[in-house]
Amino acid sequence: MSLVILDIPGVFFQGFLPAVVMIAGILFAIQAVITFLLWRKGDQSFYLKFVSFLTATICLLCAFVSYLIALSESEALLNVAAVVMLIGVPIAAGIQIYLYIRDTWFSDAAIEKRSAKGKLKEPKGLKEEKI
Amino acid sequence: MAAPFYAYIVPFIQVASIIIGLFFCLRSINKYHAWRNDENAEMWMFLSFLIGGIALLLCGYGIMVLSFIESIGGFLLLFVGLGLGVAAIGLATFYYINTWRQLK
Repeated sequence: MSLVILDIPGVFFQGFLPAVVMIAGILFAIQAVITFLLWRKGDQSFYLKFVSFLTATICLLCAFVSYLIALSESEALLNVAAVVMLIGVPIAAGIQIYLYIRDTWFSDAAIEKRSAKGKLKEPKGLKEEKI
Repeated sequence: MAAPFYAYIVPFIQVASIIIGLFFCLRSINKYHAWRNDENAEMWMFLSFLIGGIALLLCGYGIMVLSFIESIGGFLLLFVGLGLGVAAIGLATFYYINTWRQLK
């Protein structure tokens, strides 16, 4: 059997890609629900994670629905899905990058660790004045 | 209208997936250190970020190949990359379910 008969692009665009987008959307939705519950339970650190996962869920489910409609009818909706993803994905990824930077360099634990190593400089005002 | 539209979007997705893939690989190093410092639950996030990072790099490379020539290799890269990506999201979901169960 030749690979041309298998129609790899057709299998990819009409079968595999929608399935992956749907599964990823559902998994992100589960993460969004759990982080929402954890946030409502009192752990404020999960708020931004919830926003990030919710954005990803909306993007992926919007893309999935647009793709399904595009398979049978007009392809104009694909442009809408592309624009939604173009806006949503940088927001979701940007929040994750912001959380990483905040936890790595600006959290209390990180500041304590740096000050223990002596990497933090004392403010000029606190230095002893020379007589 | 569609052709120039996708002509802008495809390179954007390609570059973004490579950058975010590198970021995820970087973050997996952090998670690895957290896991080795007796935070056993972080193992799932370490694996998730590592697999997710590799998946995004494969997807970026696959899109790059496909933008030059429509080849089976490019599609295979996308197949593997997207499959790994779903696995990575699944591992992260498992981590959050575990966190929820522990707090319950």
